[in-house]
Amino acid sequence: MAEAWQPTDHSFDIICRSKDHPDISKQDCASPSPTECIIDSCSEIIPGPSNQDAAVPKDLLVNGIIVLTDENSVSDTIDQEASIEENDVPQPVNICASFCSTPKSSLVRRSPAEKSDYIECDLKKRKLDVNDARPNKRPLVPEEEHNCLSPNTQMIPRASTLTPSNRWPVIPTKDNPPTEMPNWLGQFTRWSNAERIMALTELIDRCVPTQVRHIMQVIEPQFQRDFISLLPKELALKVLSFLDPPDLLKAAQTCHSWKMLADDNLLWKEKCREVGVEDVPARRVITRVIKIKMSPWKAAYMRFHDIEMNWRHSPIRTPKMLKGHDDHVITCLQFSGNKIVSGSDDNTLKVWSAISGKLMRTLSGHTGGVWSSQMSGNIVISGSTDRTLKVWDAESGICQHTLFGHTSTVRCMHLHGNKVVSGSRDATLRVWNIETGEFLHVLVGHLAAVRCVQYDGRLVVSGAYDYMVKVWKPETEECLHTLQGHTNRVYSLQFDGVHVVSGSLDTSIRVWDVETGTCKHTLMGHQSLTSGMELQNNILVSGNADSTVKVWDILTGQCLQTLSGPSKHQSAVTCLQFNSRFVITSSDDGTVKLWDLRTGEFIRNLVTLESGGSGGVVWRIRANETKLVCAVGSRNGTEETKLLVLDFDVDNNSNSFIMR
Amino acid sequence: MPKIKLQSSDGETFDVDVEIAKCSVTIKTMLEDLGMDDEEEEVVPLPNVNSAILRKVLQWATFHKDDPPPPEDDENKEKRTDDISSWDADFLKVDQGTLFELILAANYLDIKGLLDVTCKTVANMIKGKAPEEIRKTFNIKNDFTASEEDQVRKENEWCEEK
Repeated sequence: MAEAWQPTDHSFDIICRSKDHPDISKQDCASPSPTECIIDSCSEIIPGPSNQDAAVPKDLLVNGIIVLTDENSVSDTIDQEASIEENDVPQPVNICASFCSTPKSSLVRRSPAEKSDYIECDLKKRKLDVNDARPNKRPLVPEEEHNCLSPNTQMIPRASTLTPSNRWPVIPTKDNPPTEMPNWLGQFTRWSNAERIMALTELIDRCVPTQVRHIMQVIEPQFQRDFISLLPKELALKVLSFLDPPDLLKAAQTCHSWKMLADDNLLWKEKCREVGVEDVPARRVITRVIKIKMSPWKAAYMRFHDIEMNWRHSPIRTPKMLKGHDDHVITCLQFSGNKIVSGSDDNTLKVWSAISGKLMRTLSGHTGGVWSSQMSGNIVISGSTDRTLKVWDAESGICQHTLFGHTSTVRCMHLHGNKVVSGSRDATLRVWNIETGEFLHVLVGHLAAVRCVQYDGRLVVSGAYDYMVKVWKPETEECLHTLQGHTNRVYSLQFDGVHVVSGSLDTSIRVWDVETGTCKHTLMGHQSLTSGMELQNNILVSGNADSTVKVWDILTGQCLQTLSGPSKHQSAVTCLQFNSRFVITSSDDGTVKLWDLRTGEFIRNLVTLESGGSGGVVWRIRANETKLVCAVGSRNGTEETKLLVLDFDVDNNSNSFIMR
Repeated sequence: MPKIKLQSSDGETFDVDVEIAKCSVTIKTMLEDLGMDDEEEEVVPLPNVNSAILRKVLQWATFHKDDPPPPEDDENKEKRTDDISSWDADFLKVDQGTLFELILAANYLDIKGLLDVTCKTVANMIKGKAPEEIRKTFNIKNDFTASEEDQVRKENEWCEEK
């Protein structure tokens, strides 16, 4: 430090001599300067000379106008005076660049080259300032008078930290201001607004960059606003409502008042709604709420996020294995609440607990393989090659009704309310009341086996091996539209009340208007049979035997994503399910894959059967928010028929959940 | 085009096209309720808005006078902040104090478009910042004790993709 001072110390000699203070020796100049004190005082590290050395005129360095001055400015001036005498050419000026690029700490001392940048702009003024500086014996003004000062009075070192032994010119403090300052400020306060503005403009014009920077530092916080704390609550919440959850969590860590608002329960309810979390899962969240007093909806969101991360990244816990149906094929799978129902070509259905993994009931009675099923609450409906449907109570395992009428295999069905519509190889559809077991209607018109059916309570839509899709009004048993266009068997259907979407062995998917019966779009791109589809909010996801999955916008007919790439399925896609974030797909290759719906990116394999590729297949999958059920097995005995249940819920018992 | 006079809190009067003034639902309602529509030389006092801010608000309203009316119910819309037009972004390149007063004025005058865009601008100043950066941006004092801060940090940890 002291070393750094020496090269320019001759400037102080000049000051000293010019001001006739021979008692200030050159050696003194090696000690920290007043300027350093001033600048250091910003960070409140204040070594420095005494302000009690009355022998030294305090305005030697600090004149009345520039409250906060800078040794460099003064010495620059003197330097420059000297240099101008030697060489009358002013230095080139690049004030801003040199100033801005100088780190704060290095402003304490500047190299001679840097100094030159400052000189030209304030040379004349500086000369004047120094020449005008006079010892002044005016008494101190009362402290109150300084209150009109901007906070820069605080920048002046505290007297208590100054060492009396140092013999340096006094620098201004709150208690010891430049003597002319009260008058100067008094004059200022007497001026009109316009006069003040003019004076300020002139004043700033006379400042060197260091001082302008100081002004900026003082002024800047005055233009800052703690919006969230200061705005009325509803407006602060409006601002926060535009933040995504990660930013809200950051905001909550700022201070108490931000935390209170960023934790607002309704704000988080809105965030939950945006991602489809519609209610607070009571028990689990309460755990968290009690432990750390979190708002219920925030806790619900955090849980939702934790679960999403579990699906995406966390190590997959060992799945529960639910063995049953021997070496038979699981043909259909239902998962509702905590119950899983698997239907098999072994003529039975089995009811499992998704929590314990235990077999609860075996639904026996069909005399042929079960090939279709539906489930609602505790009611299970099954369709069989024995040409009947059966209505079961899953809890008791009792068959409540057997529905006779079809003359061939019941291959598909769709339940809505208390009515189920069944489609059969006999080319007809039948409508039944599942509560009474009553046969209601028969829909006749297809020329070949009915393979898929959808029913929204108003209209029935059916797809068949006669390449046709038909729209029916069940009450009158009339066919409203026959949707013609497919050139091969129709295997899959989706119907949202407005659009009918049909997937066919002809490789195309068609989107139809149910009211007019016209074909809106033909979705081309798949290479083979579209075996399964799901439609939600005009987004269609289709799984194909060509081993790819496609995401479509059915309004525009555009293919948004193709789930393929290096990690794609190696064999036909057997089943799929999606929500607002993920697509889960299963395949004959023995894997279950997780994809990002929006980006189409492969996330990871959720299941990889060791027997995959040598016979092990995943036939069916069903998932809810936290669990995935997979029906797996093989045709050749390499993989035992079973259900795998994977759990992605937050671990409620570990500390990591509560404290993360 | 018919004009009305708006008077700011500091007494300055602004001659404004009625249609522009009516983008403020507050003024629109006032005109309709009081039947001030055809009265000449009526002065509408706006005691909560100073002249500097009123001038900014009118500048905004003039530019946006031909905008379609904001949708009634966009509460269910996804909250975006990356849809601020470049004109608005330039318009809102102001100090925080001015932005603060613009929010209050937009709220008082009930100008939904201006309120949305000003609130979004503040949200954008918060986005992507660490707590300390947020404090620095808005000159906020950290009033958490060390143990509180620790607790709050744990409570607000966001598990990210690894």
